[in-house]
Amino acid sequence: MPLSQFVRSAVWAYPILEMLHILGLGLLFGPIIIYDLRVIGIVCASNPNALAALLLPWVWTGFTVNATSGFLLFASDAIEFAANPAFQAKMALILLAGLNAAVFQYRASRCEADREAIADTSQTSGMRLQAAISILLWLSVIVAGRLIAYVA
Amino acid sequence: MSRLRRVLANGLVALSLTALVLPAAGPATAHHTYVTKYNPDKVVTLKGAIASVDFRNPHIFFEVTVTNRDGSSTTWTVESEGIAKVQAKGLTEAKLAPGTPVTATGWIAREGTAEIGLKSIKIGSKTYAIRNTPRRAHGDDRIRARPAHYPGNAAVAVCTQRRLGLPDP
Repeated sequence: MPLSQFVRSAVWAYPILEMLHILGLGLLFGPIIIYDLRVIGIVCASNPNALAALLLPWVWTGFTVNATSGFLLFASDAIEFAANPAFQAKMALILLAGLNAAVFQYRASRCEADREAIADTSQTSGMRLQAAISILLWLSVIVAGRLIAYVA
Repeated sequence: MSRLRRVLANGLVALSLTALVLPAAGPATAHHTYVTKYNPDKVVTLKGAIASVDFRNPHIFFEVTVTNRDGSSTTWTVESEGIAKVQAKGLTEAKLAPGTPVTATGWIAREGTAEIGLKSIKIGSKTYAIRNTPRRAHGDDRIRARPAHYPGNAAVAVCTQRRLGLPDP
């Protein structure tokens, strides 16, 4: 039986994938928002670089869980999902959030190389703005994801 | 204080971007939520034969072909719950085999299309009660505000007349 057929017709496959998708969401979004709030300056404990080292593996774990469960859910009804405006918006938002994170990473690495001048990566307002955008984008991913079931 | 101002400025940017992003997700016209897609005030009964079945998650769908009084036929799409819930009520894929005569009762789609959200279904002598809601929330003006020419009204009238054994309106 093809995998997509299994996901749509096995009694518990779809609900279990949905559970995994929520678990992955927690692992992905939780660390991201804490780190972003640290960069913005709302959460003040710990050095941002130390916090990033601690949290990033969990973010990647969550992303892997959600990319996998999400792909399988998508495969169960690919044509329907691909045509869904909320699904399209969600994919675009994930792409934007990834680009934002990549640019942030690049800027943070440059800051580290010039550690004498900038002791703390959260000192530049541009990176604070990126952190705020990160929170906004991931929140929007959640909103768009939930709307898939409610828009045609 | 300048830090606070920056935090507030960032928050403002975040809010305005949210306002940009949310409408892009489109209007909430409902895909599989009973109370938004189907009208809780309009229960219809379809007598016909199963045309096709999509016994799947997250919701099962099947089609019922109904022969109208004028000899034409209409194929209605029936939406129900997910596999586990439907099976727990005793309804299985085998019982919905194409060609099976059924009497399906449900709420008609608000958009006036030939679709119902399944309430109960009678196959042979056995009735499977699948769902009792949607119930209208008290004072729900969305339903009362529906225009008189709502296209679903005609179909509802026909079905109601038939259920009562009366000639078509």
